[in-house]
Amino acid sequence: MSAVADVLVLGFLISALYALVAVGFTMIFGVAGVLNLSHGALAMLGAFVARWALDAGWARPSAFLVAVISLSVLAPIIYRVFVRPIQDRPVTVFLATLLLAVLLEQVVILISGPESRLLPPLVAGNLNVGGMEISANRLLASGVALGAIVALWAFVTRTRHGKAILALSMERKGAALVGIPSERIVLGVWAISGALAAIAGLFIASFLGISPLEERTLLVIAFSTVVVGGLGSIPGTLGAALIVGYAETIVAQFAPEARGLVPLLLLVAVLIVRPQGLAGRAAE
Amino acid sequence: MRPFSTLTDGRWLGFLGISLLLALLPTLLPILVPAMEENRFLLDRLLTTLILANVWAILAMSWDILSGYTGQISFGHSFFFGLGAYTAAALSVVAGWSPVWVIAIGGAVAALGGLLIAAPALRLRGPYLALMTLVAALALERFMRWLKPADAFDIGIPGAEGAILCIPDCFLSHDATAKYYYVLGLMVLVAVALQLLARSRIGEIFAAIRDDEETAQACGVNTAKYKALAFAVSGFVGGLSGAFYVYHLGSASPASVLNLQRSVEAIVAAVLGGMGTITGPIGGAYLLVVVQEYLRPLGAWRFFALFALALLVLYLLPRGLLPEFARPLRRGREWLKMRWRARRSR
Repeated sequence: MSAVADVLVLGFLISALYALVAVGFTMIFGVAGVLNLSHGALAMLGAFVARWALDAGWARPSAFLVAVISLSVLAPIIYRVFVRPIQDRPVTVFLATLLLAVLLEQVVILISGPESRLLPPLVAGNLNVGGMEISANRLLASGVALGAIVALWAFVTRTRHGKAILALSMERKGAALVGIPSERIVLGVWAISGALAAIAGLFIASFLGISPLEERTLLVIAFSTVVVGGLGSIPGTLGAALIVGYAETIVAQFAPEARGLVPLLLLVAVLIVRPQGLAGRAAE
Repeated sequence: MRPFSTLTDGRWLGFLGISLLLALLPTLLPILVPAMEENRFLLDRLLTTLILANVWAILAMSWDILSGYTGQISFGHSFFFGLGAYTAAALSVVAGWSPVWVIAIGGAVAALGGLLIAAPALRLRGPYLALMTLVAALALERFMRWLKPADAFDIGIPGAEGAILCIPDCFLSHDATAKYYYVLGLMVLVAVALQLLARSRIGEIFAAIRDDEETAQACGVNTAKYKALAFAVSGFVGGLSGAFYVYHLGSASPASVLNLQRSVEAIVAAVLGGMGTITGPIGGAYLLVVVQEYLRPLGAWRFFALFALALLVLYLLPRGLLPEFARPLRRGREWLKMRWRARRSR
């Protein structure tokens, strides 16, 4: 019984984190049709900006805030400088964002070395959930993940700007015809995505620490969650995060030696059976 | 259409000239550079660097025929590299076979691996395909880690703990010059074979799939068959490089042969040298390895510079550095030809 409860709670916590890593990635694909392979690097950079601010003696809340804000500024700049000139050539976008990711790794290594760095938890202490001691930080992470995703969903379906994003993701030309300023909307989406990446990076660095090269793990998580869910679909991403998160937790609980392998095999299975993902539109 | 007619092409002459120069290097350098004559270590270091350059060149060409030439972007070339490497390690340590066969079989196993990925990959395109290749590489890495949690310098095969390849004796053990000639020969062979393939009918179909798959299908091309072939060829070549690499390293571990860094380096080399040109990635790989080995005092700056350069090349010279360097040479050759004709007609 307790093993089952463990799996249920831990699986949920991990899934929420995966969803947080993946949701910014899927938004950019949904709206702009761009696969941003530097998403993991942006999350890593967010964690390191907070680390540098803390090392410089900043207080915890302001350091975290500055990380989120600077990434939400950096991401649109990356779009304008690197992605927009080539966005009609998907292969080039692929290679460019991948190269950008490894370049950002080196930038961080140049500034503060290749070692893994830990962030202090955003909130300290433990909470008791159904007889299980869970760190408040982990609960906050899933709370923030859920909150961010619900807010995003409400924003996209309920507000004027959000509906413009949705329209843009459905039909670019149509959106332009009814006067939606697509350029500004896309910049906004990149800003949101950058902020979400930074938040995900902050939480992951406060659980496990993060090294510059470990951004690749984040990218793989985001990439696989998003593809399993269907590229560009936010509900699909949520479902996929739950599936991948629970698969990993169950395997870790009952067959720890196969950890890390099973989610990948699951991913292969989804790719073979349903290449467009669980809730995705068919690939172009 | 007539691949052998291109053998008289200037690009071939340049390529063969450079290969010949590289082949004479171990003999010429001690004569030309007195320091190398006195200090054997300098020459060995250069040869070791060039051995690595050739390994990466083969891997980068393997990426190029699949991704640059056929347009099937792979992020998981360490899969082929690792398959070849582990096959070679197993056959060499457990069965004790000769390196010549072992390396060829390493390539063949990786070619089968290529077909294995191709089966699901034929239905997938763009990002889905790239993810599939990435996942294959990651899955093989996790599988080998699970099979035997190896240390950095240990062969990751159960029953072969502490073994070092090629001990007690085989010609690919300690002699840097022998290894150098072996891998240079392999590299030249692969480059010539891939160039001939690229300029044959099959190569034209590969390029047609890259440019517009629907149109190729509409023309009656069985694109699935040719994509599977591209995967197998690329797997074979990637497997060769991995199989040779374990002889150079003396061991195989997930950290050394299945590292995602191998895939990234193959991509960077191909982008630098020129995607879809086969010979371009060789130049890219040489640049990559020489910068990595000889600019060590620069630390992380050298990687920063390499990646930044690759990014710049991608935007400003999408055809790669090598075609840009070759252009003045070609122009010079045209000019000489014209002079020659003018003189004859006079």
